[in-house]
Amino acid sequence: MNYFYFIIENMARTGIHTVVFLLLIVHILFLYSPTRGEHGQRSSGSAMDMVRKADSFLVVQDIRMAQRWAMKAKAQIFASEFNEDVPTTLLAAGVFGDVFQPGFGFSLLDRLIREKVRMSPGEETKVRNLMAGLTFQMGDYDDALTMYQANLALARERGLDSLKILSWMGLSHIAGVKQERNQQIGYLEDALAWTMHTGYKGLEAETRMMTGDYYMLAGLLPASRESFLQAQRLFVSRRDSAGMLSSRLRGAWVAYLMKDYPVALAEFRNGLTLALNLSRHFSIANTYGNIGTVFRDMDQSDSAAIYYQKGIKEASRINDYYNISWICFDRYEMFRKSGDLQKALDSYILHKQYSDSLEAQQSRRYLEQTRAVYEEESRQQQLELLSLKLKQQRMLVYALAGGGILVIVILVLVILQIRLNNRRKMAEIKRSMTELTQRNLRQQMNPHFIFNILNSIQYAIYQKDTVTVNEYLGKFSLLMRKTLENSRHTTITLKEELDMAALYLELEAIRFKDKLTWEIKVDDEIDLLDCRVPAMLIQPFLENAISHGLKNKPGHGHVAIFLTQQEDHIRCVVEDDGIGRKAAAGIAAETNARHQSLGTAIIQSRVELINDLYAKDLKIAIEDLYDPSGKPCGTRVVIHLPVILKQ
Amino acid sequence: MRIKTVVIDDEPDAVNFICSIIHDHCPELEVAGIAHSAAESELVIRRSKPALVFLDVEMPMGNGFDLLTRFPKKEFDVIFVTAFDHYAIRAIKFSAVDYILKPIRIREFTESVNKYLLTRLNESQNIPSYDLLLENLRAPLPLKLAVSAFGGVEYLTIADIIRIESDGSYSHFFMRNGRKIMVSRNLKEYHELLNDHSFFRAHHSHLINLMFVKRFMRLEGIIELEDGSRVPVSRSKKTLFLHHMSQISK
Repeated sequence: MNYFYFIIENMARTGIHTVVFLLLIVHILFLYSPTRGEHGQRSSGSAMDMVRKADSFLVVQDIRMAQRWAMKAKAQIFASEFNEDVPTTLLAAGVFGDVFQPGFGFSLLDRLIREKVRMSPGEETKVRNLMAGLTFQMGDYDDALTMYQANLALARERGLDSLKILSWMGLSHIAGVKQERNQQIGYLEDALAWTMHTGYKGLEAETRMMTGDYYMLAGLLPASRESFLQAQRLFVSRRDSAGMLSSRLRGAWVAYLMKDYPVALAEFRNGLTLALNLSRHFSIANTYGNIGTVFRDMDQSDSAAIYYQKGIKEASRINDYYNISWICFDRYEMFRKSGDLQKALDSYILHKQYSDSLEAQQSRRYLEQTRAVYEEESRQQQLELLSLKLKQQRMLVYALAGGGILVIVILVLVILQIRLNNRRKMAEIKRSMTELTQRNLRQQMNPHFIFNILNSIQYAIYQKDTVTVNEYLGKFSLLMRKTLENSRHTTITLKEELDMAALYLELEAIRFKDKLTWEIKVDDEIDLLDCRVPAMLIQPFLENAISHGLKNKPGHGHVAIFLTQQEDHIRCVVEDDGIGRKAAAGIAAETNARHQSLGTAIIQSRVELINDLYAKDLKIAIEDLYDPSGKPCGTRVVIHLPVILKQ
Repeated sequence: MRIKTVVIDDEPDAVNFICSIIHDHCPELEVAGIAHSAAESELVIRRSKPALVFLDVEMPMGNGFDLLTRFPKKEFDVIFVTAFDHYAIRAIKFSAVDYILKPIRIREFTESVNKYLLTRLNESQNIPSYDLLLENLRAPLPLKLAVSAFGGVEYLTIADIIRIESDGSYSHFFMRNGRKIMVSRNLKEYHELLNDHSFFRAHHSHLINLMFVKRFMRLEGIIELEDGSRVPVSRSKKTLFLHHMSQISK
């Protein structure tokens, strides 16, 4: 399988360094691919059968047949899914690389990475190294460099020794292609040191082969020869016949370059035996040619001619234009030197013909490679489209999930909002309460009431009635004080409320002289200090009783407040013996007055708010009273006072 | 012969107080009767035929204004007495009727009486009926303004006043129909009175009705009104003026 090494041997003659290097890499790529040609027992689809067939041709270096089978396999893979396991994929990628389809090989490996197929460290090493190698083969040196460096970093991170060594080898190749000789040998030295440190003999042998190549190209022939010999020894110890073959032949070529013809000849012959045993057609042809050239340079033209002929024959069997081409050229030189011009011309024509063919073959390969790159690109595009589609589907799922989450969030927000609203509502109730209490205060501190009282005081002063002034002012101040004080609280004790009522009644009685009498009766059971009531609850009813029920009544009027303890509440009754609600309402309707008793309306809103706030059922009922003859004789307000405890 | 009066209030002390003041301080007046309710007072008035009535605005069985409706032909003058009623007082003011606030200040009371006596002497003065008062009382904002011009009391529809210009202690009213009325009260009083209406004190001596603004010459700071007259705007009032205009155009 190392047949490409042979190409290097003719490099000096053909001068196609780059191509040689490119081809050389292919070998490196597969260093760590699974041992090929041993997978026959597995049956994994017709495509893989074709790949294996191609591989078996590669083993005997029949690239023409290998290519034929590989192309068939490729068509098959394109037609159907390729879902092979890691080793199989590696094999296929390697084969495609060998038949100048690196892009396709790469895409097969890329699938493993994309789909995050599980791999053992060894497998990952092989996959990553081969991917970098295939990238190199595609001509993307910079990408390949990046990949090798990434591999190196990964290897260091995970302690993957062989990946480390392989990465150095790859980097060395890239340095070689870029003509950066110092780096090339630097990487090789790193790789070599590490192979010896880890004891990976196989890798050491390969590294030494590369070192030998490096020295050979650098003209350091003894060092090169030494490297090849060391490689050869390692291959022998590993019973790696392919390695043995290539290292031996390479060593022979260096010996030839050193003009050590007997050694070169001996080595080539050994190599030939090995190649024949292994049926390595390319190597056989190549070695025949090289032996011919050694004979030629030893001035044994007849032997040379025989070997040249053998080489050409062998090469022809596998359409190996390369070997034919250079062998013909060497033969032409030989004949020209010997003056056999007819034969020289024939050889030259043959050389020319085959080197043209070779060029055609190479450009065809190049074309194929380009096409492969194009195919790969379109395949990638398809994959991208597919993944985009998948992404869209995923987006849909995300959108649904997101929608769900959104709904939940909104629900939570709504619930919070409701709770907030509740709290706000409570605050609102409290605020309204305060406001209404204050409006109620204004009701009690009715400007009419105040100024009329002041007017009465003014009159008493005018009359110099000091006792009345004193009494009047004292009570008025007391009412003012209590009113101001109570306005700060939503609820006050029942005692305070009754004191206020009493004061108010007293003052009204003074204003209207003997026209108004009043009384307040409280059950002994009732503890006036324990019981709390909304401030200014009773007063508006007193005011109503006086201004509507009594003032409009000719003659004397009476207002009474009775408090009795019931089972769970206190019953508070405000009763007057006035003209009754109907008559009062009639008078109110006749007059223009705007300012008629807002009092009860305010009371009603306050009652509702108090019930909301304390969850109590404060109730107010108003009854019309009739005398036995059915005539209205007053109004009774019954206040159902639930017990409100101090907050 | 002394001028007959009737005192009407539902509170005994209030009636007694006014009677005492009249007795002690107003030798020109005599109390011909008292009443404690509107119903009672009608009887008392018809019987004693007073020239002047001290009438409490707030009374049971119909308030003081109701009493007036029972005398559509004006038979007596009224001085209102009230403890507190924003709307009533405003209506009274617009109607150029006199009033006294409780608690009663004796000086205020006698001044009021003297003013009454003066008007009474001036025979040419036409004595206002109470229709205007009742009308103004019924509307949310008074519609008419009673002003005492030289020819007597005039009732101006407020919406027809384009502007009022100050002239010392006099004021000139410029009306929509082109009339110009000179009134013997200063601009400040009308500014106060018309503050709830669409009037704006553009300048120290100019009160304008914003409804009649035609255009505003911002650079010169001059307002042109519908009748073509031009009124300067104090520099400090420009912003306020524009604000009011934007409120109105809404």
